[in-house]
Amino acid sequence: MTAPKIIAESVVKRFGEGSAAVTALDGLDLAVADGQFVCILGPSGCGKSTLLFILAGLEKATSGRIAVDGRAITEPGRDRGMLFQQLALFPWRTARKNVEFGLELQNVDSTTRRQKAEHWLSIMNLQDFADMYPHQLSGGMQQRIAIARLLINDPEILLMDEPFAALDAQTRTVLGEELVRVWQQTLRTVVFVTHSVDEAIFLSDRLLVMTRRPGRFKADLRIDLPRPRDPASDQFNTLRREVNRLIRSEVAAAERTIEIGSQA
Amino acid sequence: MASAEDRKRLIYRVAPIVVPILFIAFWETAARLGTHNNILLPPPSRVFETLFELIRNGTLFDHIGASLFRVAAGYALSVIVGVPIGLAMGYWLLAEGLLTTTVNGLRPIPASAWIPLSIILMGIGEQPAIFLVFIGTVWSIILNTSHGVKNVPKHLVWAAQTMGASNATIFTKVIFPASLPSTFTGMRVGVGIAFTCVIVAELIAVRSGLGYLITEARMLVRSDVVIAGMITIGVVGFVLDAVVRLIMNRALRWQKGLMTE
Repeated sequence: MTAPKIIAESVVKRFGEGSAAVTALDGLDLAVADGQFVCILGPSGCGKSTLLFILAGLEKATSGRIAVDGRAITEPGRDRGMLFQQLALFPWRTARKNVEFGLELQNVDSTTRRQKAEHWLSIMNLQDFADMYPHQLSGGMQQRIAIARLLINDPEILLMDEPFAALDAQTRTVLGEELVRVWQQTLRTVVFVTHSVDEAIFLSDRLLVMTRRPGRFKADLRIDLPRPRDPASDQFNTLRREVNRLIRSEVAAAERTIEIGSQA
Repeated sequence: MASAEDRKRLIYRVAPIVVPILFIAFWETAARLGTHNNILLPPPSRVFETLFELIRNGTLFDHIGASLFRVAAGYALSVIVGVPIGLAMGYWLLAEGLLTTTVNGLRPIPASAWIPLSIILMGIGEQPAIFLVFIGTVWSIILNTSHGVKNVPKHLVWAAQTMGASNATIFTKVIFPASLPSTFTGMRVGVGIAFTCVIVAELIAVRSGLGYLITEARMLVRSDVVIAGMITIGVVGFVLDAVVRLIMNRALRWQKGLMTE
């Protein structure tokens, strides 16, 4: 067996100090194989985004070890591209200039930059909108530009923090399909955080269900439905039922905790 | 019959000029009937005659030029000093800590209160006038710039970091452009203040410019010149603001739709 692309061992993350400290992650272990599409599914506030920010190097773990290809992660890097829930395009740059941003950082000459930006914009079906500013485009288009801006840097790992959560259901489905298509072409390692069961089953090779805070993994499922997947198929339904059952027990447990907490 | 739409349009076109016309007619009549001393309050016809005379012999443009030069010099100084200080205060906690007492301590002192000290230190002339414009505008530029830097959306910085941007690059390519709208708000507020400051300075501290024109005319009891000067000040102030707004809207094209007017 080849070495995993991403390894996390006994990761602990605490916010705050003393009695006000909140433990977001408590001894979490994770190994992701190269080229795998992993979805992390969990209730709000379970620490799934925190884990992603730690993998990106935007947050530091309180303790534990996180490594990519055996190298410990200490800071953000171009090898780990990230897509955010917020539409994070630079509003003062046109779509094209947004996509070119990463190449500018690497001092790529303007002709090459332009060619590559055209290429990625056309893959995302946005070539006609290259000279528009983000505020002139819909949320779905903006997130597609953000995907192009991410992929042009050719990152080895794609970290996605509920990137489609702010979009309407239809756009979300279409973008999910596009993401799978691009992923099948590039076969990068993807860690995708979501709280949508359907999205997780539709996208992933492997689905990790997280417990309520402090977050740990409660289930590790392989999803080997053939792609493109049909959310109305029997197998999809079976999986959906099983995952929902896992999630529901977590949500119920979280609510019980809140009730006890509020009586105290 | 006129539709409601037509009626609306008629009101928009005609109503705004009704009060000024009535006012000028009343003023003209009152002045001619001699209820007041004609010298102290001349009729508008006399004021406009004087205004055209000042335009014809070039005096007015000399004064406009003198005032605008001081506005430009003081304002430029303000931008050159204020923007870097604002950026530093927004970005580095230490810079903010070191400067906050000074900035927030000096800011409440109105520019006009600086006049006596600036005359004592710099004498009568260009310097106190330019200094007054500077001291009047620099605070809003500093504070709006630092506010803009502090309020750059975190996710824009994260996005740049995960694309491999260094801190220096993030500052020049993300934080600086993202803070510009706020800086421009401070600059736009500053233009209005700058013009007020220069007129106030010219009333006292310098012997040319629109402020000097009206204060000199007061000593000669030339009310017609005073009022003609006031009208000019209003027009120049209006044009100045319109020009600045135009330039800034251009520069922030990307922000259109987010911009509230």
